[in-house]
Amino acid sequence: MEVAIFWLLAVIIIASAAATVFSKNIIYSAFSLLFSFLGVAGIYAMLSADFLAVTQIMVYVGGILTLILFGVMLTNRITMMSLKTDVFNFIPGLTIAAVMLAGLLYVIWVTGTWASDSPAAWDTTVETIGTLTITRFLLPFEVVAILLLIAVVGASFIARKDKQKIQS
Amino acid sequence: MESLTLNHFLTLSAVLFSLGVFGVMTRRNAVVVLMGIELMLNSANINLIAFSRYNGNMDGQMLAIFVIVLAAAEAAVALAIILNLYSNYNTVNLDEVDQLKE
Amino acid sequence: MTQETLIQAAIAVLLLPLVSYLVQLAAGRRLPRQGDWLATGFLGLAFVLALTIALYFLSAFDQTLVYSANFQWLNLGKDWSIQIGLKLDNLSAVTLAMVTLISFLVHLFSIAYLHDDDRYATYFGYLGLFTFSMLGIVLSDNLFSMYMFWELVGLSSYLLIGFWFHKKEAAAASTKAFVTNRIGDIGMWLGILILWSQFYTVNLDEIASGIQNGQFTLSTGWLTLGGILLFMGAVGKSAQFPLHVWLPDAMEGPTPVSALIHAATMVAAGVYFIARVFIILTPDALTVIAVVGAFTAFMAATMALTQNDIKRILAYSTVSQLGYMIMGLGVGAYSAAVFHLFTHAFFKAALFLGSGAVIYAMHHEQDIREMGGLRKKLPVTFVTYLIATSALAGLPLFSGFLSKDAIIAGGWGWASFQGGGWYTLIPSLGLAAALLTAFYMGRQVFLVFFGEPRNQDKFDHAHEVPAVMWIPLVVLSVLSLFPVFSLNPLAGDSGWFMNLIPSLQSVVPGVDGAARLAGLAELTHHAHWTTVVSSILMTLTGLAIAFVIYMKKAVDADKLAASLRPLYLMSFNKWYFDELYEVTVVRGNIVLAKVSAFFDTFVIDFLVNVTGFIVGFFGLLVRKFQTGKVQSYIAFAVIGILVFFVLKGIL
Repeated sequence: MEVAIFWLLAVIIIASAAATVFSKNIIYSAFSLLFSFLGVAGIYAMLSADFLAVTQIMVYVGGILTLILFGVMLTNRITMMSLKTDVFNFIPGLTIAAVMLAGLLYVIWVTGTWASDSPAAWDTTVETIGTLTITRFLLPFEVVAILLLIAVVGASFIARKDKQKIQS
Repeated sequence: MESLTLNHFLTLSAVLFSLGVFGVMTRRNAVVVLMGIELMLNSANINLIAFSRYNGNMDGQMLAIFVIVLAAAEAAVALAIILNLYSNYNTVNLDEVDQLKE
Repeated sequence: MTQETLIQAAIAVLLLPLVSYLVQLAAGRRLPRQGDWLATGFLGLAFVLALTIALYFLSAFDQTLVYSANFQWLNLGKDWSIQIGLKLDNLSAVTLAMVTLISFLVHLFSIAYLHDDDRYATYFGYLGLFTFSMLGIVLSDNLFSMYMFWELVGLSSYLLIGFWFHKKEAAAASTKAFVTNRIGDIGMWLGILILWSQFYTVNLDEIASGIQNGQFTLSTGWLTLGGILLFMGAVGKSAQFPLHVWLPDAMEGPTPVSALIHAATMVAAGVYFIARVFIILTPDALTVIAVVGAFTAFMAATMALTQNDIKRILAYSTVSQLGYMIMGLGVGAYSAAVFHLFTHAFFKAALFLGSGAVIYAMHHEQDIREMGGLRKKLPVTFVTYLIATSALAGLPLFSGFLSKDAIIAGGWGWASFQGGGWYTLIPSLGLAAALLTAFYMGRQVFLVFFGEPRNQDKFDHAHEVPAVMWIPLVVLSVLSLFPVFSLNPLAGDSGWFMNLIPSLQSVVPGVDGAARLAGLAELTHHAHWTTVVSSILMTLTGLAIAFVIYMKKAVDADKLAASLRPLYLMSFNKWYFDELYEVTVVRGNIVLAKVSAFFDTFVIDFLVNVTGFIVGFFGLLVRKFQTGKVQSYIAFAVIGILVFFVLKGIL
């Protein structure tokens, strides 16, 4: 059962990820990405990371994907221009990606000596994560908070419409 | 059917990562490049959580949370940059933005 | 006075001119009267201090009295350190007084001579710098700081000779002086290095005791070479053959500068330096020195015969007299040579300042053929000039006679000590030079001060110089009289000076210093009276010839010149040395420069261009990778990572 679910999710993730990068239509890419993210969330759940699975859905699907869709809308004039986009450097890119995949698989399957037994699954991780966040990971947590603030300010500053610039 | 091992998740992550790399390197549209980067980050997260699960250690999950936060921040800033790029060059096709050559 | 007080006083004497230089340079133009009173006052103070020191040494009258102080200036690791410091003995004490006195008088004289110059303040600053460097040489107890001050003297003389640099000749003369001096200095530096390589010290006393103890491990030939190389420095500074050419040209500088630098101090530095290293010179090196000195004395005297510029005559005379001193050192007449250094400093400074007064009175006319009859117009200048001339020509009752006579007597003593033969040529050249000296000085005095004015217009406008100019003349000419140095007008070696600074004993191994010293003294003493008689005869003959030709006009000078045309031309053109150097050294340098330029253009530049071309070529190749597309860069980065991992896996 578990294995079957894994393969199902894996197929969904890889197929939609492939659709994302190979599709010529940006809107298709964006929606394939949605399925990819959802699949990854499922994988998280399988790995008994329930909190992260929820976070994945909320942040990626609810936040990042929406942002990306806004990006698509704002940078392509839907009425005038087709949303088609093509690839370039197709063969070299494919070659490099294939070599990389081969290298990674070689490392994982041949040279890797991983712990293969599966420990008991955690019940829920929310409490543990909460505790860790304000104890051991307090400093990174605060730093990340500041980083987010900076990112918000910076992004809104960069994206601000400069009236003189936009004329040219 | 054998049971699930760490290698299953790692392989999935590797495939996803390679697809992300391919997308980043070959797509002309900057928004799709951004999508490729998100795929790569997701594959990294799968790795982290898988290792966390099989080592019985929560650190990987904590790191994954920070990765998600960074991904959100990165997406926001990247989109801001893309918008700016669009207003300056009137295109988001990266092969047309080659002023770095000069 | 204690030793500390003396050393402190000496340091004050050394530093006062430096302070004067710095003040003049920084604020001279803003001071009232452009600070001439300040510079002169500083020098006056320095003179008083130096005189006190000298009087202390005179009253002690101890030939071996030495006070010194030094400190480590630079540590070169191991036990190699450079100690610099100062040394006060009889020689440096009296030289200190002499230099500060003449510098002070020159300052005084310059107040009138340069009063309307644009760079009046700067001039006094340069004088201060020069005096400081000269005093540094005098006080140094080691070769290293001596060399530094030596170069400073070169620099400040360059500045002073080229003081009127807007004149093309002055600029050229200053460059010539500097370059010529540099040639000598290179030799001096090499000599210092030879000594350093043996003893790892620059202190003169330590070097001397090292040589005496046989620590000089190289052969005696090396010591001779070292001595000759050190002598090269003196050849440059003291304008000896073959580097004498700069001194006459240096007359382009202001006349008080000529008096200070080219009569009393800078050129004397070479002689002083040889006197300082005298005890470590081997007999072979001393022979070379004697030959060079005697030849220079004679050669320069012949050159002076036919010059028409009043200062140039004095310049050649200076070269000739310096030749005497060098010859005196070479023949071992150490104290006679140092004695001549002193007497010459006073009477030659008097002559130069006197000529400056004449030039000033004649409104910057320097040609003696335009003068004449000036004794009525310039009585004080005339009298002082006459005294100084008598001293230079070597008339009895004047200081020059005492010292010159002692040198020539030393020459005869040395010649017989060496066993006669060609060695007698050295004192003979000295005697011949004495005759020539008397002749050209007589010619100058007769043409300038006697007879009828040849340029009535300039004569009418001439007038006696102001007091600040004639007071130095009077002081210097009084110091040129015999009682100042010796009560016996015919024997210098009975005077205080030669007793205070006796001849030194050589420390060179293989030479019996004591026996040599005693032998030379004995033979010199034997030669004394013959020398007195012969040199008086020579001087009188020279003066008589000058009198007959230029005063009585019994023989027409032009006709004489015409009948001896080749000799006349040789003298008039200074033995064609300038032309010779022009053809050999200057042209040779130009050819060398052209060869270097050719090499630079066609070899160095070629290599550089080829390098640039190769780099450019590869740049063109690599440029293809710089597409400006971000994704290509990412691709390269990923490829790089992959290559790295693959290699990591393989290796």
